[in-house]
Amino acid sequence: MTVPTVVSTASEAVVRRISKVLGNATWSRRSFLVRTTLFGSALVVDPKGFAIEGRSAYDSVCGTDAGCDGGFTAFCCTIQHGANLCPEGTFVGGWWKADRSAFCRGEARYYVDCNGRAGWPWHCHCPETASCDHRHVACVRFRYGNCNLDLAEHDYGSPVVCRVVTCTPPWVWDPACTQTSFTDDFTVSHSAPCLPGPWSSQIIIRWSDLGGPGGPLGPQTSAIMRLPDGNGTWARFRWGAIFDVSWGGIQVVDRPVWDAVKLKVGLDGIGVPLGAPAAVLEGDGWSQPFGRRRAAGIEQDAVAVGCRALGTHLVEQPILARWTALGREGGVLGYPTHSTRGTRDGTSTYSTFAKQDHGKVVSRGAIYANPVLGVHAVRRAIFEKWHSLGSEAGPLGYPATDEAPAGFPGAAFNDFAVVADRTIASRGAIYTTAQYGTRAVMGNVYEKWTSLGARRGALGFPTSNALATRDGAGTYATFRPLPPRAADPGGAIVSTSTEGTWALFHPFFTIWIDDEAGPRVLGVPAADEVGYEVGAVALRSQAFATGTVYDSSVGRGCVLYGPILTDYEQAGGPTGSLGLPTSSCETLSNGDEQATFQHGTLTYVPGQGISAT
Amino acid sequence: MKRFEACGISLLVPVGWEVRITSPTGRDHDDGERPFLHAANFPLPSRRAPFGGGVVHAMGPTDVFVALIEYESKSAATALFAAHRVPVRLQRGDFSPSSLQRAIRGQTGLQQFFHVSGRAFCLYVVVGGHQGFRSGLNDANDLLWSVRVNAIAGVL
Repeated sequence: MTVPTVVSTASEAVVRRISKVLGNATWSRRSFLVRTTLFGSALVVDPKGFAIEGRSAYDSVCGTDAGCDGGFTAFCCTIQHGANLCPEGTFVGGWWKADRSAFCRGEARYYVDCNGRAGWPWHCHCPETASCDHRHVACVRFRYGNCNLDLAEHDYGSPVVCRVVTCTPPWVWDPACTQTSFTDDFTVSHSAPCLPGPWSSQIIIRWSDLGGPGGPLGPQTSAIMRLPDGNGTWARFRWGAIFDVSWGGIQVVDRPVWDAVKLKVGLDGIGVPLGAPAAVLEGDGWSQPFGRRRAAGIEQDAVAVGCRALGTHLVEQPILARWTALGREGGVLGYPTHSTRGTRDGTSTYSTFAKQDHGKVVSRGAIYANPVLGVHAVRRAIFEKWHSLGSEAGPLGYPATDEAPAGFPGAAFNDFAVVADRTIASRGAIYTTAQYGTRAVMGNVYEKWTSLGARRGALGFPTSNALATRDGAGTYATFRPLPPRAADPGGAIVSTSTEGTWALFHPFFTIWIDDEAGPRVLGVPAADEVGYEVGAVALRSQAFATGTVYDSSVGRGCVLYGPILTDYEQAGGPTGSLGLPTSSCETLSNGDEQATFQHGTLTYVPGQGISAT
Repeated sequence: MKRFEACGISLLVPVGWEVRITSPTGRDHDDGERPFLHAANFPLPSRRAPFGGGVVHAMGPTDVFVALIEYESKSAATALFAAHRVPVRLQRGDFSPSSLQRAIRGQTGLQQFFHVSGRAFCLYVVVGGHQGFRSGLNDANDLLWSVRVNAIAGVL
């Protein structure tokens, strides 16, 4: 066994002593590292005691006055399985410091007294420990008097149960402490094997300051690892991680943020923490940013955000930028309800959100990032309608715009699109109004409506979702303007694979709806309405699959179909000898059908044909 | 007895006693460091911690050590510093071997927080052994009886 390099520059006395201790024993790698670490600690903390007076390295780690009769109190980590925290049943009674401590890499090291609370059965004793920290427990009744000043006389007569040490200033470590400072450099060597040794890494020091294995991070589960870009180190713990980044300092990730980021934290994921968790919305929730340094500077790639009711979730770019623009957790979308994830088709990412009021969810929403459509938010009633239709996997596809006002108080809309092979395959929209509710328009109906001016056109706003025609061969949606055109009865757009997609305005819309509900002689529209003048009379007509409707001042809403319509058209229609219709086809009491015109009558007798009079 | 005055406090120094004050003024850092007054019936070492570090481990059975430590003035309004006069007429029964910052066999101690003239203090007394109570405690009581604190802002 060779002498470890850690002592290569030490005095001969030290080397001889280490060589003697090492002897010819067989060493595992771990035990070797532990022991050489102890030697290093011993040399820094108590070189005289270790090298000259013949104390063991282990004893020297604990520093001076480490015996039970040494007059000082044990470290808390010694008596509670490594937890560098005040035990249950104690309070932070005060603190002092030792300056220029190797345990804190040359900075001040703080010793915090944990005093026993009244009513707890603390009794003076020597700790049962295999470590060298044999200092007594709960034996002196003393207060440094610079923490928890609201705890008065009977409390400062309470015993000092144990001591916590930190390199973090106590008033930062526990806000109940004041900055009134006392220095006692005589205790500078006091330590324990369960505390970081001299010149430990910043990561280990911070971990210990947080309580070590008994703290919120739990035990260490990885070695200290270098970041892939060489700009720092980090280590994983059971419930968190600590990063030491050259451009960002020491940053800690612990629960509940850890649970949301543990699979993505690091430079191969969302980056490193850019700051500590911070309270948001006056303590209602919390957030912690993650990112990396790029050529343009430090950029935020994600943020973990949470609140008690909804848990903690990760919002990643580019969704994060959109969410930030919308006011983040205090904005219209509220807190995330799950972490950013991929869509089922693998083309996009999305996050969902919920807005709360007094702990109750009052609205939901989402932001989707699609490579073709961009990043857009959908929320409230529009989100609920879209969600009920299958969200991005439904007929509307992905959001193509953010929610936008639709020109009336309370009226808003989102456009949507189905994307296939990186091109838009179909489009749609959801509109919400106080008068007509929240309605989806999609496919051919949407395209037709858009060609007619959409909400600003003659049809106005959708008043229904997609409805099936009575024969099931097509779909249609109804529309109606909002004030000041609210008296306009609006219309519909009907789409079938056989006849195409056509708009229906008054009176054809009303006639068709009645026909659909009743005799169903017209079928679906086969063309848009047409208008022209016949002999100085204005005529509007619209063809349907099995009929035609004519509307003029000489005959309102005349529905012709069957043999009479065929014969009328063969006679030249409105410009023929019969002139304009003045009635619809009507079934007489004898079963014949008859329609009247400006210049005659057509009668259809079943089995005998048409007769004109 | 000669009078000692510093930083708004005065007291009579018993014969054979030494009084010293340590102030952070002039130190290279002042992150809340407080001044403290030490009095003892034995020579005080030059390097001392506020609550007797560097002092008490070397005390003999007749030695008495008195520390008067001032806190930031806003502490005066807290429950811990609610007592409103300098403790005087200390008696043997007021001391306990457990009331020590560092427990050393044979020594007994006393600690009391108080405020006076709007200023917050802690009195910490260590008696080195039973023999110290005979003469040293009387001297300590005389010293404490003579303490006068001016209501000045700032440090001791």
